[in-house]
Amino acid sequence: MTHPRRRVKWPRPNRESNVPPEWLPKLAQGIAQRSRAALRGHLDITYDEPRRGAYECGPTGDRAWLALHDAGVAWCTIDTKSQAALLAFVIGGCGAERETPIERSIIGEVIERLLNAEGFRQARWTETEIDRPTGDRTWRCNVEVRTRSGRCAILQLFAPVADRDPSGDASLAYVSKSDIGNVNITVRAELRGVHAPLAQILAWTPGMVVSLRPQALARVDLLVQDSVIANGRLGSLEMQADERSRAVEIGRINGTPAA
Amino acid sequence: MTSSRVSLDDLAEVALDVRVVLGRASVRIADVLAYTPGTVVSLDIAPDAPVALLVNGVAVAEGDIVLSDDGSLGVEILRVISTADGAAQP
Repeated sequence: MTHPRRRVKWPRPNRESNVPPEWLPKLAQGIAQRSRAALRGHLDITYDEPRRGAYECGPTGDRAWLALHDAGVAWCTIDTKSQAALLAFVIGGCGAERETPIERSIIGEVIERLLNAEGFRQARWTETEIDRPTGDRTWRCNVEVRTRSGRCAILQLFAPVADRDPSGDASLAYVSKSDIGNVNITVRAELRGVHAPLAQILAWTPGMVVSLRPQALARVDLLVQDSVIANGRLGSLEMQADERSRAVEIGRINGTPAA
Repeated sequence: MTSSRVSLDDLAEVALDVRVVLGRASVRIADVLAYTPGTVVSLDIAPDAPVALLVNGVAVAEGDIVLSDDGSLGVEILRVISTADGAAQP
């Protein structure tokens, strides 16, 4: 009988920031302002507040631009329908039934001009054929350019979700050295080992002497689990009257693993 | 001649790691982090108590540290720990 495998999933603390990057609405605002200046006609231009949302490719494809700037990565995508609308806003009428290279070039030029918004002039927007925002860890902010007749171009802006700043957040606090400092661990004192053949070990019996390396007492290893943390020499320590304990005086701190 | 089993004779020359455990101490991590040359670490055992002989990490015997006339160092076996005693911890 076989049992289906089950994968146990443990809840993990959410480390994602719930605050969108400040620059994203500013970029949207800048695009909206430039659209009013660059596009023709009576256009209603709006932009959303950033919200969490994953990228989805348009039904007939899209074009995308990618920028690296001081604050991170940004994408702008625009689907085919919106490209056609944008072209119409520029040339004052519909484009060819099948997009021509010149029309494609015009659309690209316009988008790059819009993206070159105030505050983002240092960012180099580059059209990318293959790069798209991946996963659902993205902020999304749409800029919508619409005519009264209903023709609409939407520029979709994306920014990756950053990790939360752990300071002041109890769910993301790390264990501090001072907290862990009170935990006890076992330190073991060993004499450096020798190698002996199995036949010799099988002959061990009370009264026999197992030879150790010369000077072994001058080189006692202190180990925590299998790691040699220090070495020193063997001695004894007086604890109370008539009570002594074996002790090791550390000569050298050594973090290398045990041989 | 062949045999269907590996004999101890076949393994007689296999070298095993022998270590001598002098003692242990339960220490706070903070104290371990404060170790420096010169620190004395007190072990939880009397100076004249037997030491444990570990073979590949398993305690198999106890003995006393002895210094022979020629100056060589060794452990004189006092007791062989059988499995009936329960395997001692390394």
